[in-house]
Amino acid sequence: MAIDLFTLIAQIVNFIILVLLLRHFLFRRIVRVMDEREEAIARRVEEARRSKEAAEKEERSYWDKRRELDVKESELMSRAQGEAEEMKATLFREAREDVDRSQKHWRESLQAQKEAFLRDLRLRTGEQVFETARRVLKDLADEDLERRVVEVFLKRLGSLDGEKKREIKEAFESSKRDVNVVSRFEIPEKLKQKTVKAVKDLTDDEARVRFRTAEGLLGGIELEVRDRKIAWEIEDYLGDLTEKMAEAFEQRISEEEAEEKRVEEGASGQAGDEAG
Amino acid sequence: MNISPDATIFWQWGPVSLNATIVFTWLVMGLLVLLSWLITRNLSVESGLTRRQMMLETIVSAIRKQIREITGRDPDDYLPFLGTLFLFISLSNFLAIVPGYQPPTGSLTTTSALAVCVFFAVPAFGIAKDGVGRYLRHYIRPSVFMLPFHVIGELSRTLALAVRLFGNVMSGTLIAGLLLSVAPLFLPVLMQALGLLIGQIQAYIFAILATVYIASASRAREGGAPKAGGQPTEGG
Repeated sequence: MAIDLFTLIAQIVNFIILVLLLRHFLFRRIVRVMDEREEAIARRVEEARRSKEAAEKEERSYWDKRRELDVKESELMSRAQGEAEEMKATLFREAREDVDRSQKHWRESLQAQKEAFLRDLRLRTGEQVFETARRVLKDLADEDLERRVVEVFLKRLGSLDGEKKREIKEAFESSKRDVNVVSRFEIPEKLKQKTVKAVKDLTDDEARVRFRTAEGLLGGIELEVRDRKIAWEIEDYLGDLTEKMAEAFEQRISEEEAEEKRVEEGASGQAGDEAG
Repeated sequence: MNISPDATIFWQWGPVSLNATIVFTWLVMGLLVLLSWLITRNLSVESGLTRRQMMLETIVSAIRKQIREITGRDPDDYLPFLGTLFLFISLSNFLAIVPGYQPPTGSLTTTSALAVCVFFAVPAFGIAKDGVGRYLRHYIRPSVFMLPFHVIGELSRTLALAVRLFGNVMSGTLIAGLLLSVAPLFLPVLMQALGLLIGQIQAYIFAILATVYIASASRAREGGAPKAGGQPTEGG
């Protein structure tokens, strides 16, 4: 149980040596490694914190930008919608104007065609009627139609009422006594003389009667004194036919227009639905 | 039956004797140094920590934490001394499970040597921090009449340290030996296990008391009231 001095000193020395050895081999090394690790972790945490801050900043700026873009987008959208509406209205208006214009143009061309047709019809019918009448007259009564026409015309001249006569006379006096007799056919000399005589009877004067032929008269004859006219034409008989044809035309056109309008209304209704 | 390993002498020349205490101390020292060297050879800072390194780091961290809690300062100044104290006593007691091994801590000489080391370490740490004058001044506080009591306190606690460790370890070995002759089966195993536990607790107590002494001396010098630990209550 006694304390051996040598052993005591030896143990103290042993312990001091052990402290030094462990300080070198264990504590310094392990503490250094642990400190380094702590530093590394602290550094990483700091880096992570900085990264997080940067990311948050980035995120904030991203959201700001996003919000800005949203606002801009809605502005652009509403503007584009407005422009589209405006453009739609303009295009509708232009289309309507186009349609109106082409309709008008079509109507005008139709009218012109109608007129041309009626004119042509009148001419051909007149010619046909004239020719038929001439042949019928020739076959039935051995009469010359042209001669009959002139005679009927002269008869009409002779049977003019006072008012007409006075008008003709006034016109004759203010027209340097020129009288034109226009016919579709060449009047035979004998009838020409009769005509001159009849004119002179009408005007009580020396009149300069000039004869000429014109295509458009439809087998008729006409006396022109300045702006006054006395005429006999087959066309007078065709008036009713022309009128009936014109009526038929008008009816057909109005039917087509009604149909067109109906189609158009359907189309515009559909377009309205689509726009809505 | 030898109570103390001091009595087992392998070689003697005059006053110089190579007894079991010294031999087993060398064995423990060799083991500690070898293990430390093996583990700290390839330490890694980042990833790829070995289990041995983890274990060692855990032990060292626990020691540092204890020192920091008691002293309230950076533990690295005290770590080599206090850490070695704990590891040496701990391994010495732990190896008691090896047949034929006699723990050097079961020798009053060894525990006295350790207590003497603590006895000198307390003023050494104090002086290293503040110089001789300031350290010595705390012996005459609050009054010069306290000087003998301070000196007696220092000596008695050193004695207490030495005897406490010796008594516990020696008694463990003694009880194991006694029981072996009375009831050779089972009971000695249980007592051996209990002895292991007591050995570790004693290692802890010795190291903690040494820390508290160093810390309390420093606190007294700073003039503050001792906080954690305070004046150590000695027991055993």
